[in-house]
Amino acid sequence: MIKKTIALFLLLGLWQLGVTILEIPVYILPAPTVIAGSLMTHHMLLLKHIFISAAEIIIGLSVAVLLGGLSAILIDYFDRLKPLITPILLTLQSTPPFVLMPLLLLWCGFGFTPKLIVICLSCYFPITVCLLDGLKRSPSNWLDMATIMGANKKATLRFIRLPAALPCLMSGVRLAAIHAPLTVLAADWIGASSGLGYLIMLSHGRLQIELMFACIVCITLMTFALNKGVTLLEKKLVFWPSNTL
Amino acid sequence: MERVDCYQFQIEDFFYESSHVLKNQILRLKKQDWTCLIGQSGVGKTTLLRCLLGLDRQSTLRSTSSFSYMAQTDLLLPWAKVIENVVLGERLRGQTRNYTKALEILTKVGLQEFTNFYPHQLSIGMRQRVALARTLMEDRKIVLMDEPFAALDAKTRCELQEYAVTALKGKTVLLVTHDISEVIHLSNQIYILKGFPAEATLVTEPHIQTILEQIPAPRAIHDLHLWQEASAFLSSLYS
Repeated sequence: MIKKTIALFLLLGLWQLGVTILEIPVYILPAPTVIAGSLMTHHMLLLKHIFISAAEIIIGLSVAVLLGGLSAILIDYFDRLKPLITPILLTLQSTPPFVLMPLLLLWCGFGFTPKLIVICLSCYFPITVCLLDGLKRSPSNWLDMATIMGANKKATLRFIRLPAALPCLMSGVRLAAIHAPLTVLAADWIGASSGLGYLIMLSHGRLQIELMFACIVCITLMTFALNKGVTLLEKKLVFWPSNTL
Repeated sequence: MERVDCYQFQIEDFFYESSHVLKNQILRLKKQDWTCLIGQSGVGKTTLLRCLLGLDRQSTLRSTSSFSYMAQTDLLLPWAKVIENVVLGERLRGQTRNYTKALEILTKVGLQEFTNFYPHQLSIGMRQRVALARTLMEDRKIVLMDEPFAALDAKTRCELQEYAVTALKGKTVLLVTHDISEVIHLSNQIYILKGFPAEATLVTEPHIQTILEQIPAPRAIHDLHLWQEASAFLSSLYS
């Protein structure tokens, strides 16, 4: 931890030194102190947009977990659905969700809704596929035991297969949590009136390069916090060691 | 052999990838006694058990309601507490869970203090005792055991065998094993599985019969000579 902090400060020091010695103008590459200053001055503005982006990501991710989880369970439970739904899933996978953004803007107007839909779409696929994969790989000796005990299909799914697939679902959520910030920023760029991506474009337009850098710092921190949150959630939910069977 | 005191099971020909693994045969288990099934690894002991349980049939599933089953690994669900693992069968069948009975059984296997522990917090021996408790909770007439003591160290194995013998009193047990001393220690009747396709034959050798009939199981190692003779004979059956 200490080593990492030192390394970070060393890097920032080099940056600062380089910018000062080479006399790079602020509108090309602002020094770390200038960016820090911008973070201070604009903290209310930044917080507002961080809040909006974070809310979009968290709500989108949660809805995607619900929808993706539900679809995976349905697809797994009703074998006949599989050939119907697989092509839809593959199409979704092959379409980068934010290319739908202009269309969604047309349908839903500016604001929260189109971005939420785009995030949902981008998170839905990894979650569904990972959970489906986890359900497919239920340990067969557990299933045999359930059969011998006289279990029905639903109870086996609920008490054995779903909990056993939870680590896989969490891998899906982790993947989705990587997709989500990317998607929300790209969606901001295509058309939005709020969010960190919007603020980047705005500061770019106004040549406030230091504010742009401040946005980038915020995005990095937000993504970091999001991944940390998902890891913590995973540790809390999947509390047993993975080598138990 | 009289048929009255036996459960009789028809095992049909079993093929695995077009090779004939198991012969069509009849297996008789003495009621309320321990029958051991021995045989080299890979000969098809587990396959025979699975056929008995109806797990490997493509066609209709045999009613498994008279069997409970204990495997080499404990098969405990890592996310469920000990007591929940014990009542798993009731949960899976959608019945109301009888926690009082579960606690009684856990006390029988010496785990009453550990009802709210998770499996990963227990030792391997204790986990296998939870598996034993789960098997007892099912309360079926016949208990099939697939080398449940094989993964344990000598001391823990003895301990678990004692628990099993006491707790399974009155049940019909089929124990699959390749541990000769375990066979002499526990069984009332010995089947050996041999050949290709494999067939289980009852061991009727007079020496062994004498031991099985005259000394009640579980047998201690008090007559070392007899013990050695028996294990030498059983080992010779393998080759």
